[in-house]
Amino acid sequence: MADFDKTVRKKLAGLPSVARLVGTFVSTDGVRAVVDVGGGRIPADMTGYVPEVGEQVFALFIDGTATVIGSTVPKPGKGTVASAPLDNLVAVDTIVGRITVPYAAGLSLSAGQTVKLGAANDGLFVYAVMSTSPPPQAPPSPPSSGGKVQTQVFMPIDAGSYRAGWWTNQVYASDTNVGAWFYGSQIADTIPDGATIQSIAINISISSLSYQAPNFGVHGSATRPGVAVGLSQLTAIAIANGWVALPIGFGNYLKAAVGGIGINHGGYAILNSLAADPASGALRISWV
Amino acid sequence: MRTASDNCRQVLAQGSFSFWYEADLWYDNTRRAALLPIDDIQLSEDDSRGVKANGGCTIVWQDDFARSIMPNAIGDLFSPFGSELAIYAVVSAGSFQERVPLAWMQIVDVPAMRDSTMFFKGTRITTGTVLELKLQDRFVQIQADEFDVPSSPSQLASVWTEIGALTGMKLVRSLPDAPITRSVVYQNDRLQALLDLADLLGGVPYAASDGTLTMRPKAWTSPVDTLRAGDDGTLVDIQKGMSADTVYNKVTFRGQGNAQDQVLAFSEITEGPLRVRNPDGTRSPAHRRPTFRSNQFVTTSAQAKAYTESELARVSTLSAVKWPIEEVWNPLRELGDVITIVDEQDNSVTARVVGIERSQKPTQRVTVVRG
Repeated sequence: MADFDKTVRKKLAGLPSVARLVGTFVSTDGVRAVVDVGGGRIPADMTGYVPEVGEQVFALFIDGTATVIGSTVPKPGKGTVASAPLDNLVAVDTIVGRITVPYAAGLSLSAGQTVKLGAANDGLFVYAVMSTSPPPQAPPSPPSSGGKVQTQVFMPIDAGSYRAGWWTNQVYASDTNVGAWFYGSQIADTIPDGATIQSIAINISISSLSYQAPNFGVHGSATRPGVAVGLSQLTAIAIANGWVALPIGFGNYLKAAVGGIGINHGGYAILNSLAADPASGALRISWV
Repeated sequence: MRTASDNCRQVLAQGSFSFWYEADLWYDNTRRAALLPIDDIQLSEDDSRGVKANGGCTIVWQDDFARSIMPNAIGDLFSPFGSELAIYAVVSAGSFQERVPLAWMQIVDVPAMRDSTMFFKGTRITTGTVLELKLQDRFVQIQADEFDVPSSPSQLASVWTEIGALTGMKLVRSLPDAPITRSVVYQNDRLQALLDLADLLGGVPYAASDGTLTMRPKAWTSPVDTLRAGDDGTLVDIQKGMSADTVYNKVTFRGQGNAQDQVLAFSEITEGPLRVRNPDGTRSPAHRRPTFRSNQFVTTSAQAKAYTESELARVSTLSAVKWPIEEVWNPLRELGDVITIVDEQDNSVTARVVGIERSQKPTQRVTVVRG
C-alpha cells in the first residue's frame, strides 16, 4: 500500500502545471519577449510570431516557463480593398471586418482589388495585389441533434380541498368541494412556452370512488391560496388508480403560466392526500 | 428550510414526535413500488460536493406472491441503472401525520442482496428479500454524462434555458434569469458547466428533494430558523473551532474579455485584523493570503471587479471553519439554510448549513459555517 501511495505521489508530482493567460506584448529583451501578464511584467520565450507592441497575446505557462504563442485574435491573410488609399493607409475588408493598414510603397490600389496581407510579423501590411482569389468554400453546417421528446413527472407540493376553507389534505370531487393539487412553479419553469405538448397524464390514487366521473380543470395557483381556486377547462374524466390522460389543453395552460390541476363536481370521489400517497396528483407530461 | 405546514413546524419545534422513512421506487417515469419501508438509512448532504447528497439504505421486501425481487439484469427493479428512490420522512404525533419529501435519489449500487427461502408444498418460495442500496442524488447522472462532443451554449439569451438543455432535468427557477455573457467551450465535465452557468446567477445548483434542479443564492439570506440550546431548545451539542485554512484577504482575477483582451481585477482587505498590509506599508500580522479566480463568463473589468469583491466577502470570513452541531432530528433543515444559533449563555451567532447527516437516530448532525 505504501508503495502504491508513493507511486501515486510521484505521478502527481510529475504533472506539469499549465495555464494560458492573456498578456500585452511590450518589447523584447533581445532574445525573448517582454509581456505584461496578470498584472506583472515578465520575460517569455517566443515562437516564430512577432507581435506588435501593445498587441494582446496568449502566454502559455508550463511549470516555470512562459511562451508567447501568438495573437489572441485571428490575423487575416488577404482582403478586398474597400476604397482608394488615404494618408498612406488603405481600408481593406477581411474575414475579421474592415481594417485600415499601411501598404507597400509603389502599389497603386483601387477599390475592389484583392490584396495579400502580411500577418506573421509586427502588424498587418498590404504587400501585393493578387491576380485573383478563389471564392472560399461554404463552411459546413454545424451538427444538429434535432428536436427530441422530453418527459418529466412533476410531483405535487401540496394538495387539499376547499369548502368554506381548506379543511382537508385529501382531494375531493363533489358538488360542495373544490379539490386541487399544487405544483409550485416547476412546470412553467421547465417546459418552454413554445413547446408542443404531446401528452399529459395525472397519477390518480383513490381513497373512495362512487357515481360519476369528476370534472377536471386547471387553476392558476402555485401554492394553496387563501380562498378557493377557480377552475377552467372543466372536463369530465373517468378515473381509475394509475395514470389517467388529461386533455392536451391542460398542458398548454400549465407550460405558459404557473398553475395546477383541480377537480369539482362529479363523484362523489375522494383522492388520497400527499401524506397517504406522495404520488397522488403527480403529472407526467411529454413535450417536444 | 423545506416547506411544511405550520402544524408540522410546531410538532418539530416541540421535539415530541415519532418519525420514520418511506420510499417510492420510480423507474422510467413510472412508480414501480409504493411506500416501501426502509431501514438502516444514512443520508448525508455536503455542500462541498458536486453531487450533494449520498447515502444508503436497506429494503426488506416480502412479496405477496412469494417471488424474489432481487435484480439480476439491467432494467430489473432496484437495478442501479436509472432506478430512483423518492425518500420521504413521515412525522407523526398523535393523530397528526405529515410527509416531508427528503431526497430523490438514484440507486447507484446494490452491494448486497439476499433472499430467504423455505419449502412450501414441494417448491422453494421466497419469504423475503433484503437489498442494500447505495444512493446518490440526481446530479450523479449529470456527472457521469460527460460531453461526448465539444459543446458550447445553444443560445445566449437565458441561463436557465441553457441549464434545462444541458441537464434535461425539471427546473424551479428560484433565482432571476440572466443572459449568458459569452459563448464558450464547455469543459468535459457537464456538472462543471452547470456550476459555471449557475455562477452567472450567483447561485449554487442542487437537486431538490422532489427531483427538480434548483438553486440557492451564494449570498447569505436572512436567518430562516433559530436553533436554541437549553431546556426549550432543539440544539443538543455544538463544537466550536477556528482555523486560518481557506481564509483569504485578497482575491485576484485573471481572465479574458470579449475582444480577447486581458481582464484583470483584484480586491483586498486594507483594514481590520485581516488587512494585507499596515497603512504605512509594513507587514501586517495576517500578511497576504491571496486566492485566484478565473471565470470565462466574466468579460469586462467592471464584472471582474464585482466578482472579486463578492468572492472576497465570502472568503475573508471565518466561513471556512466548520462547526459540527447535534440537533433534534428535523427533516426541514436544508443545505444553505442561514440559521441563528443561540447557546446556553444567550450568545447568538449566524451560521449557514453546509452539511447534514441523518439516520434513524433521534438527532441529526449538522455542519455549519460562521457568518
